[in-house]
Order: sequence, then structure tokens, then C-alpha cells
Amino acid sequence: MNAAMNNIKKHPQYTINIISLIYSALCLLPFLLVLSASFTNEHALSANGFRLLPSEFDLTAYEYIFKSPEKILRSYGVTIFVTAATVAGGLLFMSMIGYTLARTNCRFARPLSFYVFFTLLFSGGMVPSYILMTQVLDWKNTYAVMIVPSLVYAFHVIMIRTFFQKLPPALFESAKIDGANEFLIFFRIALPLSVPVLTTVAFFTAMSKWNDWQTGLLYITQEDMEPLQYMLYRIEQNIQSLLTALSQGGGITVDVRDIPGQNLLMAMAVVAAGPMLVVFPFFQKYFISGLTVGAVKG
Amino acid sequence: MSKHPKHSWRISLMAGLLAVLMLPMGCGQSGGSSSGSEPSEEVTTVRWITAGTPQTGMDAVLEEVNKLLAERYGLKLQLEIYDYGSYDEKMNMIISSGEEFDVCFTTQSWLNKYQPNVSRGAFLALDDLIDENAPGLREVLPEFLFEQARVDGAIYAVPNYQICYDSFGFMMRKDLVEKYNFDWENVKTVEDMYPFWDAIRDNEPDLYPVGDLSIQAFEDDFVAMCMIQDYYTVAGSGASSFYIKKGDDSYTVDWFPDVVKEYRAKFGELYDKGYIRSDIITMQDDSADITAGKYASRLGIIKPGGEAEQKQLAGGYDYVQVALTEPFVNALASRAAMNAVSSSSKHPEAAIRMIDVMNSDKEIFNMLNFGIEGVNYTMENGFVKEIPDSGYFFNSGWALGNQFNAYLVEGQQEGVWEETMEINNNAEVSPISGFSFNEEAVSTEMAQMSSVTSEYKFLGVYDDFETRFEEFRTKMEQAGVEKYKAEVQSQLDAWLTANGKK
Repeated sequence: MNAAMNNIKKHPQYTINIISLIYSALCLLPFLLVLSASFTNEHALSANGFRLLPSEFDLTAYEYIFKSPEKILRSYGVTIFVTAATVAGGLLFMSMIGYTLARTNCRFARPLSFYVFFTLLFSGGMVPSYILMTQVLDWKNTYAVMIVPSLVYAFHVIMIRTFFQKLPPALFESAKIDGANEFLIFFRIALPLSVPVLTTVAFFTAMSKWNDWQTGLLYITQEDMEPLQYMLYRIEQNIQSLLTALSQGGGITVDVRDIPGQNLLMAMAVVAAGPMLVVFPFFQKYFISGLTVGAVKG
Repeated sequence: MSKHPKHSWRISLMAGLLAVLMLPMGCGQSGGSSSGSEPSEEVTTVRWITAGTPQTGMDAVLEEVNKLLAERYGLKLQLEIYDYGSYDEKMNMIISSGEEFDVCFTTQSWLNKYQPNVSRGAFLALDDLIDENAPGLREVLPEFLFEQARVDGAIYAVPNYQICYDSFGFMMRKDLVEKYNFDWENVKTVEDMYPFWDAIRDNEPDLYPVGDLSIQAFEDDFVAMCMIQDYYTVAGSGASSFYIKKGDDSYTVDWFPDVVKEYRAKFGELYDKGYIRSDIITMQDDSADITAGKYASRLGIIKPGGEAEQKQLAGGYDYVQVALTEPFVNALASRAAMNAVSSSSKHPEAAIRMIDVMNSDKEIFNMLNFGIEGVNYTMENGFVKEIPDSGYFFNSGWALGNQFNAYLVEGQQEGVWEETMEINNNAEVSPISGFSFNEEAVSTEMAQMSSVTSEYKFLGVYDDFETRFEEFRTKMEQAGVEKYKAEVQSQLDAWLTANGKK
């Protein structure tokens, strides 16, 4: 009887597991292709195309990157600095806003919430923000343009606020009775209790900042301030653009030697993705608990 | 409700504080750069944006250039080089936001497209500006350059003077030509190449008999080479090109599918004979094979000094070249590279004078091209030799101004500019030189046609060519090729009447 029930339970599980396994493998496939391509000889790559295992194992792409690593290290530095600053600053700002909105005794909580959530639905669009950044603030080629606009993201504010709302109000009241002011309550009580949501938000922010190339494309023209992903994007676009120029012929003189090989591009993608792969497991512990934040609302 | 009036006030203060905190953080960095260079009374700064490979040592070179500019013309150059990949998007943003700049690089069909920018009023009409501030330009540059730049009668950009004509032919590796005793000098038709390609196919398993600079455009280039002998291109590109027949006084526009079909079949013949690499359909980018010199010959534009260029490009082998078609100047050839003055410019007179300098002042032009002598390059027997890793070697005269003023670079042929200019001036010019088709009215049809042509790429190489071609023809008709044709015809007729040619 017991065994039979177990069987019934197990069968659908097997199917689900197998489907999930296949799906996971499919998700992994593109990355494996990139990895393999980065270790393939340039000629073999253009002749045989992408293969799961390198058709001709070759390290020249990595040699090329690490032969003069200044440029890529510099971009690494920019990206790391920008990501760290955005995460640190963003957490501070967003949790302060979230805390304020979560307190029932805040007089302007409603209009403030509206002010924050409005940005989630409507934004000025690209051209107006470009005008603001370049002509009003004059932030072209500054670190500020890469950090400040992404400090506060309304959706994360909602996540944090919801988490704060779930904390027992009695905690704050007793702290107040003991004479703590709002700053003290915020830093000493609210924040330490909110590590899961803060880690989740930190991770999301870090991910989006690490992969952000658009800001670089619009506002950064100085090569020593280029974030890593923008550098990758630029090289990729250069290949496309030079190929277009070639296929049109005529008066434009294009040097085919300027076109970097696909394997170099893939190697750079691997180098760029590396740190995130290392960082992810560290966050994972909090990640799961953080995701359920706001799932059950009282 | 307000049980804790005091506290609620505090929390609001906190929120307010947040807002206040964000402001200085933002503004902190902005102070310096905006008011950096106060333009003095005499020297006007021109912000010039161009495409190319950014140079790390540009500041040092600009400093030298600006000394000369200030002394001779009372100008200061603020040059910005964006690379090809991001140029389009950056320029689009700069123009749509109305950001102030003076000069930018523009082309007919590659980067920062000319006509759409003219339509949206991004560029200034230059006729009066040139006459009042830079009459010298008219003397330095031949008249047909300006004619081809005209849109609805006005010049909106100054073309950069460079090679203007097309002449199709083949480049061949010299060592192979000699090895197989091929009489390359007497090649007149494609068939004349067959003995050479046969020899390569049979004896050189590692090499491909013939290729193209862009493998993706190989068949279209081949067809273009065949068509150019009897037809003028009027509009479109690639497989959706529209032509008029040479010597046809009625200027009837058509896409001549029957003639094109013949030439595509011919390309298929070359493929069947094994002259063209068998994986051409799936090949995306063969630049690695090109640089390794794996093609015994290639189709391409034949021009003075082309052999030397090909040697640098393709594996360091010596090359010989032979032209199959007469030099011919397309209707819009000079729009390949131009500089326009922005309508957001505060001092367009200075901008046009700067363009004048780039076209007439050899010293300044070359300094921007190659950097400072002794620092970025050395002169050896009249040829520029790059000093590697010195931080500046722009070497893209065609993007800045008059290419024929550029010093020769090591590896180039002596007298190459004079020879090119000579052919430029003697080449047959399209009878509809300066006519530019405005695609706006039929852009839907164009988009549909492009999706058809990209679906039916490399028609000739398929075994069932006949049926595939008829399929292609039907789909093109469904996509609206006739409507497009009619629009080209009506615009061309209007242009012909306006220019007194009909």
C-alpha cells in the first residue's frame, strides 16, 4: 500500500524533473557555446561555426586580452566602482525612502508614495533625460551619470517598504518609549532586521548595473571611463558597422584587419561575466527568502 | 489621527532631507567642465564630431593643431572621434536633443544618414555660407561634388574629395599568377578568368579561387559588376536595385529581373564549377580567411594603388589587378563621406571656415591625420611611417576632408592621388548625377522588399534556380516592386524636368 502510493507520487516527479533538467540544459547551452567559441581558433570558428566543444583548441583570444590588460582592467575598475557605489548608495536611499513610506505616522506618506510610484509607470523617455544629463547638469563623461540616476528604483522601494511594513510595530513603539529617535530606530532596529530584502535589492541593483551598457553609449566618450559591458558592446557594433561598410563598397576605405575575430569577442564576454558567476552563490542564501518578500501581505 | 505630531514632523523632515541630500550629490561633479574654456574674442571654437577609431594621444595633437589654427585662421578645433559602432546612436541622440555642435560626419547610406537628417532640419543649407565665408572651397573641390550633395536644390554638406568612381575587376595573387603562367593583363571578361580559377581549384586545395571583400554581398557585387556595363543605377541597393538602360532617352526605370536573372545564373555557374567556396550560404564573416590571403583572387573596386592596399590587407602577398569595367561615377558617389554644419551651431561661419581649412590646409589636415612628426610618425623618403603605440595615428583623411592632400603612407604607391584624381575627372559620369531618390513615400514597400531579398540570398547557387527565381519574382511583386518603381519613375521625371534634361 505504502509502496504503491510512493510510486504514484514519484512518477509525475520524474517527468517534471526530466523536463526541468532538459530545460536547464537548454538554458546553459548558449553560455557553453560562448565558452567553447572563446577557446576556438579564429579560422576554425569561421569555417565550422559554433560547436559545443572547440573544433580547434586555441588560447590566442585570451592571450590577446591579457597581453595588454590595461584597457580591460581599467574598464573592470570602472564597472566595479560604479556597481559598488550604486549598490551602497542605492541601498541607503531606497531603504530610507522605504522606511519613511512604511511608517504609519508619516504625514505625507500618501503623496510621497504617489511621487515614487508614479515613476514606475511614467518616465520622461530617452531624449528628455539626455537633455537633462547633458545640457542642464552637464554630466557627460562623469561618474555621476553612471551612478546617480540608478540610485533609486521605485519597484525596489516598494519591495523594501512592504518588508518594513511586515515588521511588528511594537518593536518601534518600545524603542521609542526607550527614547530612541527615528534615525536610531532606522539604523539599529529596522535595517538589521531587513537583511534578506536588502540583499535581494543589492543583488538586483548589482546585476543591472554590471550589465548596463546604455549609459555608457549615451554619455561616455572618454575611453578611460568606459564600463566593461559598453566596451564589449562597442567592439561588437564596430564589427557590424565595418561589415556593412564593406558590403556597400564604393568610396569608403575600410581595413578588414580592424575587424576583431568572433573568438576574441566571446573571450571578452566570458571575462566580463566571470565575476557575476562568482558573486551569485554568495547572494543566493538570502536571495530565496528575499524573493518571498511581499508575497503574503497582511 | 495625529497621535504623535512631533514625530510625524520629524519623519517628514527625514524625507525632505533625503531629497535635499540627493541634490548636492548630483551637482557636485558638474561645476568644472562647463565653464572650462572661455572663448577669447578672436578665437572661435568649433566642435567637430567624426567617426573613426578614438585616439588616446589626441589632446597633444590637438594642442599643436590649435596653435596653427589660432595663428592662421582664428579658429580652435574641438575634435571628437566616436567609433563606427556607436557613432550612429550617439549622433542621433545629440541631434534629437538639440545639443550644440558645429560639424559632423555624414554619409548617404552608412553612418548618420544624410537625407533623413536633411529632412528633419538637422543640417544648415550651405550655399550662402560657402560663398560668404569660404569661397575657396569652390576652387579646391570640383563642381560635381557639390552638385551631388544637393537636396531639393540646396547643399547641406561638403563632400570629402576622394575616389569617386567605381571600376570593377579582379585582384590576383602575383605568386599564383606567375606559378600558373596566367595571362592576367589580357583579361577582358569573366570567362577569361576561368583558366586561372581552374588551376587554383585543381592544384591548390587550401585556397579558394575567388572571393569578395564582403562574402555576404558577393553575388550582389557580381551582378552589380555585370549590370554597370549597360545600366545606370537609379535607386535601391543590392537585389532590389532600380536601373535605367544606357542610351535610353526615355529614362525608363525598371528592376530588369530578366537581365538580373541571367547574371545570377552566371554566378551559379561559377559556384558549380567550384570557383566559389562551397559554404558561401552559411558563411557570415570570412575576414580571417581574407587576412590570411586564402583567396587566389577577389572581385572588387579597381583603383590606383589598389595592389599595395590589398597586399597589406590580405596576407602580405604581392597582387596584380585588372579592371573589367570602365571607371564610372555613380549618381551619388560623392555622398559616401561628407561633413555637414549643424543647425544647432552658434557660429556656422566658423564651422564652414573650419571645413575649408580641412580641405585646403595641407599641414593642419595631415597633422590631424597622422599626428606630430617625430612623435607619432616619421617621414622616410616622402612616406609616412607610423611610430607604433605613440597614441595617435588617425589615418582617415576621407572622414575629415580632402583625401588628396594626405601624405602617402608607407606601402602606398607613389602618385596614387594624382592618378586617382585624373581618373575621377575623366570617368564617365551618370547622366542623372545628383538625383537622389526620396524613399519616404514607399518605405513600407522597401522594408518588404528587403525581407524578400534577404530570404532569397545567393539565388544562383541553388540547384533549383529557375523555380526559386520565379518564386523570388512573385514575392517581389507582392512586396510592391511595381509601386516602388512607379515612385522612382515619377521622382526621376520631376527631377529631369527641373534640370532641363527631358
